[in-house]
Amino acid sequence: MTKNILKMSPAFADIIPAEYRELVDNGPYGRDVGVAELGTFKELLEEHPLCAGCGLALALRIFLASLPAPEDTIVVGSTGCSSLVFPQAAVQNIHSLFGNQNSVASGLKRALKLRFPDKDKDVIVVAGDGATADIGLDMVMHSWFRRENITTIMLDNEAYANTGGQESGMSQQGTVLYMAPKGKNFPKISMPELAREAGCVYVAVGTPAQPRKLEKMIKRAILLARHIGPTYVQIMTPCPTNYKFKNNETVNRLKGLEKDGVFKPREYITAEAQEALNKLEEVSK
Amino acid sequence: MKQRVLMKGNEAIAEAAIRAGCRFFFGYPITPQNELPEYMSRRLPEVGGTFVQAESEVSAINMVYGAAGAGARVMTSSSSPGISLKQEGISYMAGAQLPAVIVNIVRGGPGLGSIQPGQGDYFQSVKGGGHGDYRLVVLAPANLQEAVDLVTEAFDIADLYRNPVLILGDGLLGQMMEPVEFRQSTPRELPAKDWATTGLCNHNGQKNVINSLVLHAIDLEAHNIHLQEKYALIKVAEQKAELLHCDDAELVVVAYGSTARIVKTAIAQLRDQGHRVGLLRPISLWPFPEDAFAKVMPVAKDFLCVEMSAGQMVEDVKLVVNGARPVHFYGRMGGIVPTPNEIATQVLQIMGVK
Repeated sequence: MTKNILKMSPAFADIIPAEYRELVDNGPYGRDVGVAELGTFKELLEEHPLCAGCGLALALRIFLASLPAPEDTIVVGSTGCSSLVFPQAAVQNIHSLFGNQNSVASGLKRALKLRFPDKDKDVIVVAGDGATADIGLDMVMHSWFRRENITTIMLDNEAYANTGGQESGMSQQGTVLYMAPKGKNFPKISMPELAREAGCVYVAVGTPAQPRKLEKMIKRAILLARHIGPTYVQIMTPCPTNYKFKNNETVNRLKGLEKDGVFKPREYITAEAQEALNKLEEVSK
Repeated sequence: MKQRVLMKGNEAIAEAAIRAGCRFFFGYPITPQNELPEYMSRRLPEVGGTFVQAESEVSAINMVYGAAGAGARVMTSSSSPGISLKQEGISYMAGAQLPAVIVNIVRGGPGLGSIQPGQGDYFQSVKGGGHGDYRLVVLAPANLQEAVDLVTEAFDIADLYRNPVLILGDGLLGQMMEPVEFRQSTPRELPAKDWATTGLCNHNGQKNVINSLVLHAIDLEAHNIHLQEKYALIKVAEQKAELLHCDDAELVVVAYGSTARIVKTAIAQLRDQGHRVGLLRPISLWPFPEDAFAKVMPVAKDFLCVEMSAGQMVEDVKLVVNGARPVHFYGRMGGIVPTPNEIATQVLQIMGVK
């Protein structure tokens, strides 16, 4: 697919909605734009149904601006807040069963490889912590064991937010949530380390409080997944609605969590992936 | 003196389970049933019970399998997509003859559907949602008092017949509030759970095995025949239905759960206008209340089945009526709840009233 097929027939230009026309004329397709250029191009998503101050909304804006090839990207989502923006984002999307997203992505990627052998189709899983670390953990891990060429992105708000705020495996020990009235009684799951051990060639933990750094992580993860192996990015995305903090405090909260050592950004990268990255990043310089 | 408390449907069902002796609950978040496991997570520790939020519905139903195997009264709840995930476990429990109570607060489907009320899980509930020849006892309350009463009944039936029992509610019943009274039911005589796997020392050396794998065809057929004999007993003994204004009803509306409440309003309107309309409300969806149909048949000229589905229970109505009377259908889907006026219009059309 090239940007050409997104073009409008001139005969219909006058009846195409203005937002769509703007997307075709000034969208990110086929262009090298990113987080630094936000505000200068039509973004893939401009309105969303997430709560004010939602950490996911911040992360998804950066994620969508970081896609190396949005016109060749398919986002595979799972149930929950993480999926709610994609019906109105200008990127193709499969919404699947809760927890089964990495299996759906595996099938999709394999079929796309066969159908488009000369093209890199980026299959990116975007799912929440419940879908990734709880109900879908087996399928997530096995997609990594099988070395599927997909990127898995977890939007970690440390709760089942869409069902009203129950504990998840990613909630911190001791946190009082619905279904955990006396506090969660086991520690946060070490997903980045599990990902590293399970075969991900690149693992990163980031936050929308550092947009440029997060953009770099997402780009690296997507590019490395094309030919080197599975990659995993875990993005800390606090939930003002269920963790009951003011919705203009999300970024400050992220900075505070990092300062207190509760949240640690980190990257794991295999030697093979590092070598590939050196070449990729050399070319782009 | 009667003590009535105002409670939300999901919470009332949870409290009723605790009062019926349930001490184990394994849950997982899904709307519109979250208040049920949330209530259990607060209340069960107070009465010495155990609550676990599992990592998935599949895990939760298998925890139920384990606790039931220990001879405990155990419950799980979910809503349509989550109940689909539990089906494998439910089939195994029916095969291994384990008693448990499962609550489905039904939402719109198929797939992820919506979070509004629906009745599209009727087929799954009464025809066997999992694999193999098995039946669940399916109880469908229409108000919260009945829901509370049926929870005790469900645990008793499960223990008596060693079979899982499903309580089929919907988003409306789960989320609404009504006054309820937790009252003593007539106790049933229940057999001892001498089949439970609690260790040889607890059973005088009797080796108990909980299993649904029977590799020899002749043995598996014998097991199936035993299950079918059990279901035949249930079919005779456990039918439940409500009949309203059916003595002189020329048209009998058949509806269950929340839909039946709306039908009652429609019938009240129609009766005021002098139309002879009645309601047959199945409370047990399996066993289907065939005996109640036999009672209304002499007077009824037409049947109208109303559901929040594309027409599922109507197939069972047709099987019972067996061509003797016309069976009509009216349904809404996708989380839309029919209005009394819509139903009344259907009734008048069938009765030929202009």
